[in-house]
Formats: sequence, structure tokens, C-alpha cells
Amino acid sequence: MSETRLGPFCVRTEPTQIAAYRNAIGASGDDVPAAFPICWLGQAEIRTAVEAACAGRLPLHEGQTFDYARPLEVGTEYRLSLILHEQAHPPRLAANAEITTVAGEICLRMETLLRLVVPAALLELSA
Amino acid sequence: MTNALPQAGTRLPERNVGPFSGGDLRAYAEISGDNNPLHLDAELAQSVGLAAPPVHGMLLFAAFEPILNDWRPDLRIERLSGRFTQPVPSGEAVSLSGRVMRVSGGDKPRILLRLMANGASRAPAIVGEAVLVPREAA
Repeated sequence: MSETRLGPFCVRTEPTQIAAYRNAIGASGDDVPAAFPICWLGQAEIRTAVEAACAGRLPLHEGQTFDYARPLEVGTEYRLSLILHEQAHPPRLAANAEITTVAGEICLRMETLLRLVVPAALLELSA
Repeated sequence: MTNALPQAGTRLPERNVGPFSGGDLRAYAEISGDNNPLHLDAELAQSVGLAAPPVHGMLLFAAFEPILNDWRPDLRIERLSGRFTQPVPSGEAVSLSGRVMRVSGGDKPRILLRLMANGASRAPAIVGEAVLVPREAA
């Protein structure tokens, strides 16, 4: 199993993005939705690192965990550190993120499990 | 005033979400940054044996949160964990349900719930759990 440490990256609970996310999942209220931090994996520099680890394979989301030490606040900047664990058999990537305040206080630990597959269509194209 | 804690065995009000269209999945991809082509490209989905692009697992999983908040607005999510066991094709409605498994009291009460998402086949698409704590204990 290989391990890659990345970050810390600067992430934000941007009010407009949170409002759009709440709308997408059918939520209301003023809190940061518990699952919202998954959006940070789509942030360009983080996504690039995850895509590089996928190495052309399609990631299938197998599991997700959010463990909060404290709730996140809207309109606030945080730091996200990421460890990517790659497993060969079967091909799988675990992305473990730790989100802290700017002062370094832990807020959330998040684990994303991805199964990596080579779809038949891509196999045909590469033949 | 402190609200009474729920009892083990209590069931969450069941809620149906979806069906999600291709447009819904594109909108979620835009918001979440999860633009995995498997969710957006019907041809690619068919090439891996799926009848239609699968709904993002996180779109379904996150939909538990409004149910939990509506059920007990005095509680907040401390832990949310799920396994995405079966893809749900777009165009299919999903039933979300849950049950209180354990309640621990003390200074910082914790309520453990089992969560289930079932598609049209009734086979579980997501099996998960949530731990709720009183908001004032945050």
C-alpha cells in the first residue's frame, strides 16, 4: 500500500456554495450540512491530486465517513490536509482528510473510499 | 428546557427522494465538483453494465441529513458514515429510512441510528449510520 501526504489546502464554507448545496440535497436551515465538505475534494488542486492517484481508472465511491469534533461555521476558512492510501488488490484509494481551523484546532476527519476500475469501454479504446 | 432523548427502536419517518434526472445529476456535479463521467455519460454507464448513469452516492447519502434535522432539530450530526453497496440508476426513486439502535446518556448523550437507502429493487443501495448529539453539547 502506498501513501501520499498532501496539503494543507485552504478551503472555505462559502455561503453561496453552501446555499446551492443545501438546495441540491433538499436541506434547509443555517448550518453547514454535515456532508458539505465532500465538495472540497472537487476543489481544483485537490481533485488534480486525487485524479493523479486514480491513474486513468474510474473511481467508484464505495464509502464515506464524516467524524466531527466540532461543527463548521458558514463563511469561514479552514485547512484541509489529505493522505491518499492506495491499495493494489483490489485497486482502491482511501482519501483521509483532516479539517482544522486556521489556528490548527481539529474540526472534522473525513474518509472517502474509492474503488478504482478500468471500464470495458476504455479497455476497447486503448486496445 | 432539554428535550427527552429518543428511545432505541424508534423509526425515522420514511422519505422518498428522486427520481433524479440527468439534469439533476449534472447540477449536483456542478455544485459538488464530482464530475465523474460515470454519473453523466449514459454510454459510459452502459459500457460497464448499468442501465442508466447511477445517482451520485453522496447525493443520496446527504439526503439523510434533512430527515434527521426535521425529525430532531435539537440534535446535530456528530458522525455520518455509509457504504454505497449498490448503484441506483437515474430515473429511479429511493426510499430513505432509519432506526435508533442505541441511546447513551450521561453528560454528553449520543444517539446511534442505522440508516438505509433502498432503490426500486428494494436491495440496499446505502447502509449507514449516524451519531447525533444535542446541539447544546457541541
